[in-house]
Amino acid sequence: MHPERWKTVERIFHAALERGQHERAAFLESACANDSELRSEVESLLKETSETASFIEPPLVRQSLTGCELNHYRIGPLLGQGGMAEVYRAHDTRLHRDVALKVLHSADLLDRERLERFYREAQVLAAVNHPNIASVYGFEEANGICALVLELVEGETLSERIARQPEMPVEIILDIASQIAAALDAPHSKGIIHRDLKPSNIKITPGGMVKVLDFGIAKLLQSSDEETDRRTTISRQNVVLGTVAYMSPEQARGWAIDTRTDIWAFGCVLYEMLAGIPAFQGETPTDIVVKIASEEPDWGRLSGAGTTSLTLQRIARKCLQKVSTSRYQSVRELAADIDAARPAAVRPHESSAISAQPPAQFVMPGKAARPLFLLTQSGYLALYAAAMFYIDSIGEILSTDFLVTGQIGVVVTIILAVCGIAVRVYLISAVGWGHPAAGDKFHTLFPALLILDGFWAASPLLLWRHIGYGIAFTCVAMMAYVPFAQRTMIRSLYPNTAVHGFSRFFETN
Amino acid sequence: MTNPSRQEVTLLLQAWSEGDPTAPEKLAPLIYAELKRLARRYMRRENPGHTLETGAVLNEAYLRLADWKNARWENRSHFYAVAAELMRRVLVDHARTRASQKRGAGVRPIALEEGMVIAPERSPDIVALDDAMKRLAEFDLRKSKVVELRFFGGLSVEETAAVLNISPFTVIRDWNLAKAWLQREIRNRN
Repeated sequence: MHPERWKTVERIFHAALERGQHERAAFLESACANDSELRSEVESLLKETSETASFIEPPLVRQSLTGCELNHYRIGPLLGQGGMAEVYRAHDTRLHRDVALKVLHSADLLDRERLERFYREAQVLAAVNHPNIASVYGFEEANGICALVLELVEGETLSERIARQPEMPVEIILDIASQIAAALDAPHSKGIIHRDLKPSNIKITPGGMVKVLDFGIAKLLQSSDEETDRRTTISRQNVVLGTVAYMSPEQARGWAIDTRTDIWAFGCVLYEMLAGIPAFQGETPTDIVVKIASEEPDWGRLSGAGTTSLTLQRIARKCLQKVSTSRYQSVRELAADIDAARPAAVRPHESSAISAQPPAQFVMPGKAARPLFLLTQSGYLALYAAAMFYIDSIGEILSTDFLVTGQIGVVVTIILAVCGIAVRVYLISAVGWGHPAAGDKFHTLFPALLILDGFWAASPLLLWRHIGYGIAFTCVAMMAYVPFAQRTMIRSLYPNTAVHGFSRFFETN
Repeated sequence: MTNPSRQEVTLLLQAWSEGDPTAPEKLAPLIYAELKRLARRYMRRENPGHTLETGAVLNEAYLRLADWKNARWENRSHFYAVAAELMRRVLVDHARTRASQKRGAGVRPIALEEGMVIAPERSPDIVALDDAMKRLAEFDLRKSKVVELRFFGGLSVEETAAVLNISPFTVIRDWNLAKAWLQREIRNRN
């Protein structure tokens, strides 16, 4: 097509589009004058526009803001998104730090009044300062983009943590719970309610610090219309928050909520840490809401036996009372009970040392620990058998090289082997069949085991003539470490068993 | 991540925004390889409902290749201008290979499968679209560019306007007309 001709087509096309259906024919009549070819060209193009609304049209996904700037923030990769906002990593070019930007979907933010409310409430939230809360730094708005500036917290969320390790050691649960309770206290005393406490809103930093995210932001994101239909609240919440599973009964019913709603949510989180699954589950949001309002969670799943575990179960029950007046009335009460759950034997610095990331934690997976433990025991049995088989040569070497006179060496060796066989057979049967008290017994037996295995660790010295001093001593050093390795395996096989007695001296943290 | 190509890309983008006319040519191979890799990865996902959002691919490429923390807006739009064109090439090449693999020799255009582009029900015949866009470019290069940026680059109206240095209003007008023309062209050719 000739460019000049095309320009004319273009001009008439747009002018015709601006007119209504009825005026078009008349307009084309006059605009194209006698040029029927021009007219059919424009008309066929116009016909396409009415038929092809979706042809090559990009879908209604929001354009990514990555690479853009919002005031002095440079927006980086998308970290996550929800029904009402997207979270980007961003760089504050003034303070030279990385932050999280919660960019709000702009549709209903153009209204000035709402914006001002946002500024006000963001300021209130920014005033809350607590090490266990991800801070709100402020609120930014430019070019139709509105965003909350939040502290960027690295690490995994509690829901990821629970998925990774469904059976968390009770000390760690206790520590996380007490840090969450600490986070709730300060804002509650200022009348700020979280409203959306759930495992995915709780992060654990690589250093083991618990950070509660999005404090009070649920309210900020809620429609300004206070009298929204209850039904839409549920469906919207479902869309917006992704889940209704942590809603309190009063929230689900659309009743007034207060700080005790957060206590309920805390109970849900605690339950999930103890049970490894959410307290309320269902096929649809409606099913979940019905369960929240009328059914008890499956308490049978909380089966931990220790005192601490039982106390935590009692706390979860009290938090998950349907009627808010039967729950804890304040986080202080809750926190006091959590503190009381700490066993007296656990020193404070031990209990606070939870670590989120596997490398720092040094816990061998139970699956690997059991066969490895049984293998070690079998190794010792083989050693005893070898010693019995060569008992004459051992007596000879002991008397010639180690100045052990007469039959003493042989007798001691036989006694040590008999004791050893008894211990190994006991450990193989107890741990191999998974006796629940085996961990506890192991820690009791640990001093005796250390002495026994200590003697046997010296056994490579008997072979020094064959293998030389160097290798003999290396083998001794390696074997001397084996009792501690066994202890580590037992620790990971029985994470909930309190370490007691002599064995506690070897706690690493 | 500080590999040499990242610095290189950032420097080239900078040079371009300062008026170096050779920068786009030097940038193209760096971006092309990355786009091809990313697109292949996106397409390999077996979820049939999955859609390849070209915008997401471009964003990812940008994050991987450029130093976004120190970038300026012009850098990003320059990047997109090149990347959209390259994305078009990646997708068209892919469609052509698929077509020849499936039907033996001879390029018979087929609609892309795997819900490759945008929503599956809307995905047009990529090869036919590409041909039609070439014919459009013969007499109206800008409109063809608008379609390239919006469709193959996944850019918004505002971003397209910034890249082409025209007003968003013009972008919308160009888009509407180009869409109608391309649709008619594709239908008439079939």
